Amino acid sequence: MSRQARRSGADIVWEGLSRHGVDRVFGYPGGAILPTYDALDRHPGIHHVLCRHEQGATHMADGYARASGRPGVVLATSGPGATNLVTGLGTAMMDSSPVVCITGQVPTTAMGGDAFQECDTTGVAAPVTKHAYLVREVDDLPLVLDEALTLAVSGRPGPVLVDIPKDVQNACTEAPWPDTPVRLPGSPQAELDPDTLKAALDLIESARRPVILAGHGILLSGASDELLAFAERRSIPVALTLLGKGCLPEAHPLCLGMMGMHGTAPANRAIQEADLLLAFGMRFDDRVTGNLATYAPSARKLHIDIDAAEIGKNVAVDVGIVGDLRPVLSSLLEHLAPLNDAAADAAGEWRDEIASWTRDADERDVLRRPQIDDSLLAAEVIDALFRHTGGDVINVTDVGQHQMWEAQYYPHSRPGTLVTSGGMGTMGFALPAALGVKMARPDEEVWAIAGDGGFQMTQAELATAVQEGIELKVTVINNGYLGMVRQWQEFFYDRRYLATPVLSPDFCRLAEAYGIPALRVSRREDLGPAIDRLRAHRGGPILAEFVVEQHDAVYPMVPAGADLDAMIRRPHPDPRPNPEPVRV
Amino acid sequence: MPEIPEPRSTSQPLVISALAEDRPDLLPQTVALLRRRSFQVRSLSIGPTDTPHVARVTVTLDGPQREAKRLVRELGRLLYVLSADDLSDVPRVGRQLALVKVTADAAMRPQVAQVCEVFRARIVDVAADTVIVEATGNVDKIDGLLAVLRPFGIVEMVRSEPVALARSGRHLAYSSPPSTWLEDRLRTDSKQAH
Repeated sequence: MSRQARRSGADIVWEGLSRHGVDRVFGYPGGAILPTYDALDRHPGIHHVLCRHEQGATHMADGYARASGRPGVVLATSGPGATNLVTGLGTAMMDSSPVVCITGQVPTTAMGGDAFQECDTTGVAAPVTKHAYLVREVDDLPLVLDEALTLAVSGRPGPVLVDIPKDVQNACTEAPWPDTPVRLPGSPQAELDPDTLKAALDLIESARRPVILAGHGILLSGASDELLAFAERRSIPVALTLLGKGCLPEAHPLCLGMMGMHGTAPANRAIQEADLLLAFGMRFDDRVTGNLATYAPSARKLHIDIDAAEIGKNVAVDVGIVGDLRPVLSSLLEHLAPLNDAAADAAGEWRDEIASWTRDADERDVLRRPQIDDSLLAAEVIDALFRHTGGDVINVTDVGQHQMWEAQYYPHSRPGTLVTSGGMGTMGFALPAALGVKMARPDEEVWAIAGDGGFQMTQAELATAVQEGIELKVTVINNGYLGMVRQWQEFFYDRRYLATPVLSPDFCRLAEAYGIPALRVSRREDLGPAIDRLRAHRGGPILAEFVVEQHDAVYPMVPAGADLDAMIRRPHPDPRPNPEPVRV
Repeated sequence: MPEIPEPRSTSQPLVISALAEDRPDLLPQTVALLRRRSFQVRSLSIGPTDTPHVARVTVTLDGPQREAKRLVRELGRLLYVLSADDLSDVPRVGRQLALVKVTADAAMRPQVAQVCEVFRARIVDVAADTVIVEATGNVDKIDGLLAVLRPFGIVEMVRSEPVALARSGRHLAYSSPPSTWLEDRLRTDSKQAH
């Protein structure tokens, strides 16, 4: 390690970020992080994005990280600045996103004494991060930063927090940077052993009704080509998790669409009737499995994941492989035999059976029915967005009904075109995350899609969009309800709609108050022109509010904890249980 | 005299052992993992090993065997952990230390000493009307000793968390090259030694 000039902890923070290629951070200043902010203008290679709330900053960094694969960095102060990060960290943790938070802390001399804006930040952050560091000595700072930025993107990505007391930011040191890329503790990943490889191949080659469950891990590993080759070699249908969308073109004949609670009927039925599940980079979340006791009862299971702790966590597996999907699938592909005639017949029968379920599902599709009245359905908005964008933009969705309708009605054809809060289900995610996505991928057309409830949680980030001049298409799908909660009340709480009708501001005037052009759409014939107008807008954000039918529900739906094929299907004809519009 | 609580259940707990880099926050990081992954922890013990800056972690748990396997996998997620193993159904030596302050005047001391001999415990402190008994053994043995000492009157006592090693033929190892942090510490050590 070579000697370094004497510099402050604050300078080391910016040096460390630069060393890892970080050229943009999202943050909110405050007392305990001020020394670091004060050093910012000595490091002109890094652009600071001032957010309007620390939660917004974490989602923005999260979107940036997911869209770029590089760390999304957040700066915040101690106390409330740090606690405001928690939701964003939890969101990034659940969805394996490399967010790195750097927080100021009260001086080491004041720690533990309830100083102003003091909080046990590492204690609060530990459960929602891969690791939370507290740096008590400035000499430790270079290695900790190197480690933190490496850890966030290594193995299964995830958030990391570095808490730096104010006196440590001010202290000076000659402590050097490591000469070589930092090595993290722990054993390197074991090679795929031949016995496990053979066991996996035996499972696959003896299956007659296999289904691939493709998850986020495929995208994180960049294994889309391998997945496609694998599925085609054995003609295996592929069901996607929400975060797996985009890993395989959804128009591909082998693709069954999304699985789970609001998954497609063919995907769920195929899983329940499969004799082999090939789980690639997914984690058998309860929203995907339904009742575990009756989940895929006849299926053997092969599970491949980079995180050893996922294998066997929720579902017992016959063969588990810990590893990065791309090389593991490549190794399997080297040995995987194509279908022989008998197996090809079996695969054909299996596909035919699934195709009959797909035809049935298509007939139940609400968009294939004559519409009851003039009111716009949210699904129509998504469908129009798909048609008018050619299915080729990046959608960033919030959480709730619109998120599920996006998943159902916007078939994604390439990796990285859907960014959403899956595991944590964090409302308020869409707007800030979409800003981060657009900053990471300025050449892409990026759409934030939110409901009226979630949008109001982080709408203050409209100011950030304007301040940074981000060319984002913002849509608010307004049904006047916290719609997904209302749906649960309709199905499971005897239609007692308590606390779900929600008052909203005039979203167009709200946008205009920020200087953002806006339009409201409530008629079917205005959908296309509105979307075209948003697409054509240049130079900054633009917002459209889509006023939609208030009582529509997302179908099909597997009630929480029910068997995966016990789906509530859309009634026909549609009774529209509460036809009177609700005003708050 | 304070009431001595009933001894804990003596049903066999699961035993998991790990090696980890001995960084300042190894203990809170480990506790945070045990809590957030909802393990029914009986005990946690962390102490240094003969390898500089490498600590040994011993956890005992209640629950079915699969919980031990689950903890081994989850420990792998902790940044500092180098390797982990389930010792629950492996031949092993498990020990706990107890210090027990027993009411015993000069007349009673020989009887306490006799009990100690049976349990291979030792009297390590003598005052006018109390003695401190030191004992090591597995959890059952300590429970047995306490049952016999209780009639004398236990004034206060302390038990350490149990630790365990697998018997010969099985040991925890890690194959990876040292982390940059560990290398850095070893370099600092050798500088200070000069």
